[in-house]
Amino acid sequence: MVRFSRTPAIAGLVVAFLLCFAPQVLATDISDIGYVDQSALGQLPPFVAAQQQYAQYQQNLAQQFQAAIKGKSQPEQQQIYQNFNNQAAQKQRDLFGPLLGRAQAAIASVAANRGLSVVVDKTIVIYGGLDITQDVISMLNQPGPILPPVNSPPPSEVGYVDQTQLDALPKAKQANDTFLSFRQTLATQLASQSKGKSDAERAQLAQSLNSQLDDEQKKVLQPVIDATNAAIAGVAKQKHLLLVIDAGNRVYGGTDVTADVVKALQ
Amino acid sequence: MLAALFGTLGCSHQSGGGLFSLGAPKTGQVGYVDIDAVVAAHPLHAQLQAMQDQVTLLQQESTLVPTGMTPQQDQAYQQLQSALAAAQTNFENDLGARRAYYEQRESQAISQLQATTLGANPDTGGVLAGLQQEFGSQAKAMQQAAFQTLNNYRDQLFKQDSDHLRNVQELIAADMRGKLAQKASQLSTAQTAYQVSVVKADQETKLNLQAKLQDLALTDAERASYNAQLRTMDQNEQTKIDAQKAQGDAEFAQYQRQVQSQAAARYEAERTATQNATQAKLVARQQELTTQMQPQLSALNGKFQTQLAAANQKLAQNPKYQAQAQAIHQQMQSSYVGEAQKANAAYDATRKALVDKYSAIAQMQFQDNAALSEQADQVAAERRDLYQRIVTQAQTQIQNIAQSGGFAVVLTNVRGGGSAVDLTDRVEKALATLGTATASPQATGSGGP
Repeated sequence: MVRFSRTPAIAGLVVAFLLCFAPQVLATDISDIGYVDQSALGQLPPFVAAQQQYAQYQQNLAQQFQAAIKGKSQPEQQQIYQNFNNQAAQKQRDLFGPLLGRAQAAIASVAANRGLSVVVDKTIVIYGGLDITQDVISMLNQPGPILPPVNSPPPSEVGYVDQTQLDALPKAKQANDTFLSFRQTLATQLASQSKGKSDAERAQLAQSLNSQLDDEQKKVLQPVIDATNAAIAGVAKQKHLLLVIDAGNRVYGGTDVTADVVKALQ
Repeated sequence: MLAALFGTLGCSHQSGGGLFSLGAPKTGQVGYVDIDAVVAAHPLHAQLQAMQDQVTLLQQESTLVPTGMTPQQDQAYQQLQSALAAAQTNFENDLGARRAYYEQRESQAISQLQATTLGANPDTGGVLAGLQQEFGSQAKAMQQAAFQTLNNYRDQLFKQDSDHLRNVQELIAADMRGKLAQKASQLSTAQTAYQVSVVKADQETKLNLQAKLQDLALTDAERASYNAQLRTMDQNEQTKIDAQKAQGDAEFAQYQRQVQSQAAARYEAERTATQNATQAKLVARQQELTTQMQPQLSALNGKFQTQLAAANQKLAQNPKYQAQAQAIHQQMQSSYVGEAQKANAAYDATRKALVDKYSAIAQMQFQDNAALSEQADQVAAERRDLYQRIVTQAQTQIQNIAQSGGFAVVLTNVRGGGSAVDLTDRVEKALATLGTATASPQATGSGGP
């Protein structure tokens, strides 16, 4: 059992662990969860054209960058790199900003018409829910501007949390840094001790180091995961939510509980 | 949303969304499942883990370098690495050339097919190339006309500048000549006055001496003395006059330099001002032309896009074209894949032969790290396939549980449960009852973690 190279980062562990200990409670009636296939929206001609245009721009920019850094000192190269990155980011905003604004308006409009309080990404829906992808695509294919709904989404029983904000909290950051440092040490150890060893010996060594890594993970990361798990579950109950998803999977509506979770963790 | 939109490109999804396709459900429960836990509890998980272990081991082995070699063995190892790298380069070049060849052939065939389908000339490089050529020519003509206008304007400005500066130059030269003439006149007058003053100063003495020389009773010595005095006085006068003249000449030369320098500065200032004014006029004219041309170019581009879109629409709505294009693609793809497979087999054989050859030379068994890495990739792909099969099977069980339990929605990747129902245990139990024998043997080719 050699698992040395696939230890997950803290964010992934938090997700997995939370799911293992999520409380069993009575179900609640639901009628307002929708989902959209964002990858399908990304395949629409305007998005594909924008992607192609952006790819071409990046390619040209890369060539210009290579020419620009020739004969330049390290600090100058860094400055040039920063400038080119800024240009690329600006181009990305210019190209995709209007398209995304239009897509968001379409999703909001369809969701409002369907009486949905939350729209999530299709990838997290295993069963049921209301698929509004085609409605959104139809609206996007219509010419002219799309007006967002005048009303804001109704209160939702589906919460969402921004993991990047949780990862930035001092305790989580420190735990993650400690674990990554330990993992790096073990990786160096494995590389040096593997020299001249047989396959079986190397496998045994890797297994031993993996075991140490697992122990360290339980020791350093687990308390943070437990605390985060408890905080999210506590907030979900306190706010009478059905469940809490990651902000990255929420497309429209929902209830942002990030600040509550941060507060509970502090 | 940006990252989510493009980060999920290519993801597959097999939910039962159709159940509520007529509108949002009015009642029902919400459940959620920890897919990672379900996969971990699946009967085939041990196989999945074993494959992961194999991948990790192969990846680690593929990075190892033999140790404890003699110099001869080390030399053979280095030669092996060089030979393997050369073989890889040859193989990649060969494959790239074959791919480029078939891509080009496909592109040409598709272009011709498009032209034929749309009734255009198939020899113009395809419909797109034809349109590009047509509109490109128009755009180029517009740009050339604008360029010519600007060029004419520039020539006109340059001629005006040239005439103006010539006039300025002549005026400055005349002014300079006037000043120098005035100065020369001043100096000449002063010189003459000085000469008169010098002569006047000695005039009385010289007249007395000349009067004495009229006396016939003078001795030779006295006459010689008076003549000598007169010559001395003449010489002194001439010396003073010469000195005064030299001073005047120097003053004139200095004044001349000063006047010339001032004239040059005046001309340079005028030239710079003229040049700047002309440059500003040119830039303004250029901007004016660009502004005038922009709507025309935009209109031209719009026309091009419209015609291109119309051509694409015609092609998209033509089943015969679609079928023929697909057939061309498949034919080229098939030819390329056939050749690539042969080339790949030959490449593998070459690598093996090289490893055998240098292992024999070094009298120790070397390993082909690239082959190990490739093997790791292959096992990883098989693992992804098995993972996807497990997930698909889990999804089927989840749908069964949801339908029988009256659930409206079941989600995964949930961060925390509130009042929704955790179905993970139920799904794990349902999968456990299936046993390993029922795990779908069908490879899906889909991705997974």
